[in-house]
Amino acid sequence: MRINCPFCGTRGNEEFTVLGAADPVRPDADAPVPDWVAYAHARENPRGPHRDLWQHQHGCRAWLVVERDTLTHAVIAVRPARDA
Amino acid sequence: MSAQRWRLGEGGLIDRSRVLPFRFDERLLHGHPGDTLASALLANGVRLVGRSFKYHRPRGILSAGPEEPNALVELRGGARREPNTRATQVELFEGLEARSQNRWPSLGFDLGAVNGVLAPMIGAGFYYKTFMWPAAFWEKLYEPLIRRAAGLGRAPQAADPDRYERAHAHCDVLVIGAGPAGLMAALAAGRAGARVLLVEEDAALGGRLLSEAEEVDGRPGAEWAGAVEAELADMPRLRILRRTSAFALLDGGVVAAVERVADHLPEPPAHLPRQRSWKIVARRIVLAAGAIERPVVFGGNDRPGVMLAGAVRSYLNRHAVLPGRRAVVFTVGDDGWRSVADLLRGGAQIDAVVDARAEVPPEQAQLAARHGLRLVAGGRVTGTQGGRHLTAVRFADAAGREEGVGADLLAVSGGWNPSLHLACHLGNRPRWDAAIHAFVPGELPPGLVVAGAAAGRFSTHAALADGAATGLAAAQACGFDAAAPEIPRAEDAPRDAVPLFHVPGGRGKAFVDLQHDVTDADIALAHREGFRAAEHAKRYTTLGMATDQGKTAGVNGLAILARLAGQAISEVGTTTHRPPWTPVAIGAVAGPHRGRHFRPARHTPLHDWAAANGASFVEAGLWYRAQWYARPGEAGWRDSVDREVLAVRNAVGVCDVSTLGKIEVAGPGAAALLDLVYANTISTLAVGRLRYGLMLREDGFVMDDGTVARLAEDRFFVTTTTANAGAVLQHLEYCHQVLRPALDVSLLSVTDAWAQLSVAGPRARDLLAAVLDPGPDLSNAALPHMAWIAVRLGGVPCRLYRLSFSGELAYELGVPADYAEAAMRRIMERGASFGVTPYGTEALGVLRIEKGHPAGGELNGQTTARDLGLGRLVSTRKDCIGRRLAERPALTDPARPVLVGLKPADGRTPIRAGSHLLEPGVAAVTANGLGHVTSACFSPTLGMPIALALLSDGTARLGQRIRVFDPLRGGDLEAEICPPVFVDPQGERSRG
Amino acid sequence: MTPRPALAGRLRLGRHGQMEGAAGVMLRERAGLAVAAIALRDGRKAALQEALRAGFGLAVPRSRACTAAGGIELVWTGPNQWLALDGGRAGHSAFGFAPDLAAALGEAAPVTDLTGARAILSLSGPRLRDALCKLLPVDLEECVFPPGAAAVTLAGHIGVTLWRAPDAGDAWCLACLRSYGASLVEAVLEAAAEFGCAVEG
Repeated sequence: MRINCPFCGTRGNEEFTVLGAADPVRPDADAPVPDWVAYAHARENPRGPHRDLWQHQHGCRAWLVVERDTLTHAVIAVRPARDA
Repeated sequence: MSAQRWRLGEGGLIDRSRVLPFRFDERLLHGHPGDTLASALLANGVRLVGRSFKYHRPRGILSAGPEEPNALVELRGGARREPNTRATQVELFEGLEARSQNRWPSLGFDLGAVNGVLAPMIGAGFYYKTFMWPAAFWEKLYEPLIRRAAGLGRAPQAADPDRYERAHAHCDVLVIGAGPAGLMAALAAGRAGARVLLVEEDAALGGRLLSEAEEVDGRPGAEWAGAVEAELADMPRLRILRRTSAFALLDGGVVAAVERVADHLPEPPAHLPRQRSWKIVARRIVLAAGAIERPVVFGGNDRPGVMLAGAVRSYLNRHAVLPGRRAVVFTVGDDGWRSVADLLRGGAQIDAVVDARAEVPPEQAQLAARHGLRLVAGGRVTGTQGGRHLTAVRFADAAGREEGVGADLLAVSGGWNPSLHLACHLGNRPRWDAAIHAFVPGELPPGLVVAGAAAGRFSTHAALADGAATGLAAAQACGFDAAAPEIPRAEDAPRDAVPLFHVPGGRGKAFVDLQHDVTDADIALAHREGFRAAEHAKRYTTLGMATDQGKTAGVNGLAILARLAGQAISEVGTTTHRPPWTPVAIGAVAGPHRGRHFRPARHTPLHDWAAANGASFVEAGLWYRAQWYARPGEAGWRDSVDREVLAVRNAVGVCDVSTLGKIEVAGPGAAALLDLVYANTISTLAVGRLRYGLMLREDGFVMDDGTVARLAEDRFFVTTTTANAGAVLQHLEYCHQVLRPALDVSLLSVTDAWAQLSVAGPRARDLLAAVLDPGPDLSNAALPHMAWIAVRLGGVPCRLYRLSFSGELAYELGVPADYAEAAMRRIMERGASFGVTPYGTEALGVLRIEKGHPAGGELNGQTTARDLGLGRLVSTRKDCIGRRLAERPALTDPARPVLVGLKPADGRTPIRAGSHLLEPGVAAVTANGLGHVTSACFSPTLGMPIALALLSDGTARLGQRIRVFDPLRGGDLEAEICPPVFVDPQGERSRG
Repeated sequence: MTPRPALAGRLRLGRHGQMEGAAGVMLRERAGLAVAAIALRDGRKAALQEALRAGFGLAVPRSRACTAAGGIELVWTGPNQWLALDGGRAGHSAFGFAPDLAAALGEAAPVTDLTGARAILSLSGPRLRDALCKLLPVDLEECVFPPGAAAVTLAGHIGVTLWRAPDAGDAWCLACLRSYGASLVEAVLEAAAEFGCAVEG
């Protein structure tokens, strides 16, 4: 799989590590515990486009939001997480 | 010298001026450069080359390429022995040694043939219905028997002596295959100025042109190919990789290939690898991989002497070998007639041409008439005869009348299957083309086009035209252009054929998958038992699952399934095409990353100094760390470690702790970021001070611990454990870029910038005063516990941190990496009078266990701050990673295991880490488990073994006895539960 | 106090690998460089550019690029991160590099001394690209990676920074964390063995 890092250009996935879903938002400190449990553990598993958090660990070390099709493996869009 | 009695007097692409001796099953034979092992065997009249997998039937050479299912030999010997090697792809070299497989005692007389008698009981799937009773027989009898019987070749036991490499290539246009289509594609793209990579599996370029007696542009096909090759070789931006199989199409337009750099030589030359695997990143790919001929399934179709008609032409034209003297040709269409013409030219006698078409085109009928050949139109071959070699062929005419004719060669042409595998590796299914009775590529992966026979366009002219068009289009898509190359004149004959895949009801077994001995009856059995879908039938019968991956079996198998189901082939579907296209040696995949080079090694700046001073090293992740420094006269490691611990407690020791992670956190947002990631508050830390920091995971468990030093208002120096250095930096970057992008923070790993030396013991301060350049006030007031100052050592700017892992008066000295060794020499020199002792990770571990400091055994990802007695560190006044989920009831349950200390009741029996804790007197079962021992050692300070453990209700059980149970290693003792600090519980020594 | 370079004892001088004919790859350690990391405070790019120009005559490299002036190289290593190298300071004077930079850049850009933290190789030779393509997955073709280019990537399993200083002709630089130096050297020598590698002092 190749990912086009906005800073380094297109690179093979061996230069990156993946964390998981990019969409879950960290709850407020005083949100109920079930919200926190869902944030920490519960994930959707869609067939089709999915946004992941990847880090270009062996490159520029930028965290990226990669929109990727889980069925075809096509990388649809990549943007820096800090800009998201 | 053995006579090559089957070698034609002239012709072929071989070098007759050199003779290459080689051995097959110990027999000395001879061939020429340009031969494959298969062609050389045929030239010497060797027809029997192996025994089949299950039934041990005699087998010969079916093909002339990678699709070969039968001629699997054991190549070379010793550590280089390679089982299951296709003789059709082995380039002959002088001194080559090969052996047939799967036979005992010999190829000619194989006792395994008795399996043929057992055939009715060992059809497809028999092992799902057998070997179940009695159950006790499985381990002692069935499994050993099956292991011995299974498999074809023998893998070598010795380590592979050869080197392998990996390499990367980038190009605009990748052309896979250098037959007529591929050569034209490379020519078109190369002339347009694109960066082109041409990859060819064979040693020579030309593809099918090397095997056919046809002309291109008025000259022999091979000669034309040579001329194109010369023009390509002159192109500076075009590279040719020969002997290179493209074996996988990966996501993103990446092709994996393996280059057989030295397989054609007795040994790889010095400094060259045996094989090299390539990752090729291409903007456009032209797949010009050609096609593979199909056999027909009929009774006795596996006998040595039955050969694909196209392979017969390869042996005749490319290798100048006559595969047989009395031939029968069985063809479903026009293509088999090319073998008729070539066989006649080679001097063979053709006793019959069995053409499955009721109406044979006049040109071919006239050819038969001209040479007096018996033509059986609308005919079918129904059986063969012969023991270890074909002696006769039985066929039926259009009316069904059967007769036999003597023959030593049966050339079979059942049609051609485009080699579309790579186009389907990303999940695209091929589609059935009824006009050519074959699968062609369906939807194509982005950036890949198919040309020539691989696309189902079989004539040479079509291949040339396709190649030129696709090559130019690929170059244009990459921004290059030129005039299209002129298409040279070449044959464009029709390839008329009827769809005949299977002749049912013949005499003898009719094999579909030759390598796995799968017959048409097996497929019928699968269908009867309900395994009707292509994927099910494949797995039930193992059709297509051998090393040839069904290249000559797949379509015939589908055709039989379709007929049984009353469906069209297009409705049955196909199995999934997966990499690799042909078997790839694991060595090529591993490349240089094996043995010592499997992972890189990391060394501290003091590594060489430590090695020179008696250090024994331990691997801690990628790092090499000194475990202890042995002195002459010490009997074992315990002597060294005990000495080092006592030296720290009584004098002063110095330890290399450079491997611990060090991260600089700078910027106006630094304090806020650290308050988020640490459970305790960091923003209140004063410049010049240090604080212990506890980091949680978002689910509330402890992730790592370390220290934070404030270097300046907006700059912090964070340390981590060795194991988590990378993970913590990644976590900090995540918290900044993803959770708090508005914070203005920069993060930098400085682990490699500083050597870090722990200086610990009652004489530590005196030692440092003697070692450091005069100036700094090291008194307790000026440099208290948990503070740091800038110092100089021999003029080199260093940092001195006062913190203690050992519980003694201790410091860490940060020295710039280049000067670490010089600093260490000075410490040892000037510290001699204080009894300075280098100590390693073992002593470091003993010291911290004596003080109850949590480390790896306790920070195991399953413990919380409360469990470790650090609950008070988690600030209630600020948000931090993990705070909310750490409050969950299960994580605050008082019955959770908490950190305690253990001492053996008898004062001397060692306790082992990992032991289980149980109430004395209860049954030793998991349900009664109360916790486990996390760290253990012998304490020279106390003169007895000690341990740290996580124990349920630990605080309430202080002073009681507990059973320490280690069934794995035979430990069982009683221990006293005590607070987890064994030495200086008030912590006075570190604060003095 | 004598410094010990990152690759001390790890690089045998002389010819390695294939011995016939001219060496295809030449390599030596760039020891004794003063090295510093430069980061950037949000929104202070213009201030950084001005400070580097005025103080050192250096331009800030864009992504995947490097610049050089007056013996100092600047290499881009990520968004708002650069590596600065100064070959003109010997011995203890190397310790002055980071403070000099910090003084010039002030609040705009934090500077951290990384002298000794990297193992740095200088590579050249007619077969260099053929050797490097065995280690590096990035496109090394002249038009894609000309002088002035830089990349942060993996060499096998070792993180590296690769650059061609604009004034260095056909000399390439390959740097990794100091602790990986021995493994990087082994990997480079193995990749270059086929072409003959001359290690210079």
